[in-house]
Amino acid sequence: MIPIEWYKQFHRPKTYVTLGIAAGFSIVLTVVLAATGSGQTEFVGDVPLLMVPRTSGFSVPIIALSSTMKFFLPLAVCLFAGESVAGEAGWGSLRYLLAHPVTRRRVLWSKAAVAGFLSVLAVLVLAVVALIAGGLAFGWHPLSVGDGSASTPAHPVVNVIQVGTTFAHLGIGVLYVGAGMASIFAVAFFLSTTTRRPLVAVAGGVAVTIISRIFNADYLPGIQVVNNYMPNNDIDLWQHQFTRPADLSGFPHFLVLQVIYFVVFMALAQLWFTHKDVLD
Amino acid sequence: MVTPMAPESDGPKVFEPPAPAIQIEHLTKRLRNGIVAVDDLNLVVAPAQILGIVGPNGSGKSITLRILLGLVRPTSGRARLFGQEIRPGARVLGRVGTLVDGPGFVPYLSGRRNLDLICRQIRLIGGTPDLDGAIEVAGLGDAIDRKFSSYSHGMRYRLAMAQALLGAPDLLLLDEPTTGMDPAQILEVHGAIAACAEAGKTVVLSSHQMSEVELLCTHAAILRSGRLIASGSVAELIGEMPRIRLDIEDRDRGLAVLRALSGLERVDPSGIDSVTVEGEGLRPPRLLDALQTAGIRVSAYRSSNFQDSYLELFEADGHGSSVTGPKPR
Repeated sequence: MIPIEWYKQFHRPKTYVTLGIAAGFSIVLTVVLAATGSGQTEFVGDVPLLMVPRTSGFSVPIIALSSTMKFFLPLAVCLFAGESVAGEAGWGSLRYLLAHPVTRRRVLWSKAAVAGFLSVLAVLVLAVVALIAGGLAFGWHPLSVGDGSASTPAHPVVNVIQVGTTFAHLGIGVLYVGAGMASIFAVAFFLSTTTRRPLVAVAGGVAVTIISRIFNADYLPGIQVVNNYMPNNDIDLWQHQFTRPADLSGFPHFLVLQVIYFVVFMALAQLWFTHKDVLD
Repeated sequence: MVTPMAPESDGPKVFEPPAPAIQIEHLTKRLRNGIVAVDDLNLVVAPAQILGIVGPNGSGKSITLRILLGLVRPTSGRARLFGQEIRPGARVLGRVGTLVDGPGFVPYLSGRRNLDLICRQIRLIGGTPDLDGAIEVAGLGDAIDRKFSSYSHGMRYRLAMAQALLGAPDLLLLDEPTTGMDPAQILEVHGAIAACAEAGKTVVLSSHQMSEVELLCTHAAILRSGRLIASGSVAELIGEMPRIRLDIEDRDRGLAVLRALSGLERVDPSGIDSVTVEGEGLRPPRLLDALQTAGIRVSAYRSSNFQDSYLELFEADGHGSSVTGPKPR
């Protein structure tokens, strides 16, 4: 079933438009940095991480991931996951797919596998294109990052991170962001099994992302407890790899949270899909 | 993967009557909104029968077909295909071809590619689909390589018919296969169904058009609000008694005139301006003379057909009497 599902999704205009936007974003970002970058240090993300983008191409994928992980990438993931089952129900082809001797479970997990692969692909395309375009524009030099919390204008504290280490940090960053999409993916995928309107599932996934952002202790102090269990508030922790000292203490909590969200919502998706009456 | 179409008995040959193609026992489906879509339905379809299921919208035709396809779980009762219990994705579904609630294909792929994907799915479970044959059935010419989303209504239904026949099914479940088609297209679909019947396949077809059922089907089942109000062979349902339907100007006066004639067993209104007459003494010139003498103009006159039987059975049911089986005479 997976090759059949892959054929359907890969030939779908929406798929390559989404992947194209991911690649296009990285290229535009590189061009913008090359054309307007002032050569000054700039903050990246919410952490005290300063860098001069034009001194190393490695800054481009870091900026690209940082600026898409909170909205564009969740949206892309919701598109792939949310359209997966609901899209087919909307076309009216789901009933024909299921009116064959094939278990619903097999259909569901083929769809989940392909949608999951495309979601990972979106993160990868964004990062890899940014890495290549950034390197071509600025060279793959060691990365200089300023420690924003320790620096003062008179005494900048700058760390130089060697190419190998930068590469490793970046790889972990991609994996971390990719893994951080698991919760949103599972929510959108579950919603996809409950409706014949793909937009409902996509919007539902995006809504969860936004609600997760709103429950942020920065805006709403005093709800730290809730904040800790929101699916993707800590999506930016990978950036702490680049600060000195690196602070990775939040990784396990975040990754366990992803696993819990993923298992719960995928189990719900299977439960719902294998028991529902197909009336679309 | 196990082949679903494999012959089942290599063991000692014991004579067993062939299992009915469809066996529905006390089938009930209550939807989540509380509506009883199928209400204690009993129905047996023998192999090679062509059964027409008729009834108004919402009478449970589609949902019954969906239960037979394992798409909808019955609330109670059971349904079997070729003796095998139906579950979602049951193996016996490999012997079924279907068109239910209209065509459903991937819009941005061509008709050929859509059929090819279904072929691949059928091959996964050991079937041997005939793609070229199906493309011929669809008869779309060069349009088979155009995107499905560009197809007209009729083309979509033709592709759906081709899809239904793809796996060389023994049983076809067709839900209003000629909806919205022009007469030439309807004729083609009727041809395809007749060919299936000729080839010994069992066909179940739901329809709004009584003429379609009368033309194609050997048997008919009439549903109303999820209940079976009549079933039997089409000939039985129409009735063998000579019966004539007259469209007349003044129904009530006409009824009085006709009821005064001898040798007629039944003279009943069968519409706003028509009456149905039944009985041994039925001779058209006699009826027409009588009406003309009384000054009542007859605008049309024809022998009774399935549509009339359908309406009559419906009316009888509506008046509270529960009719099952052919009308007693």
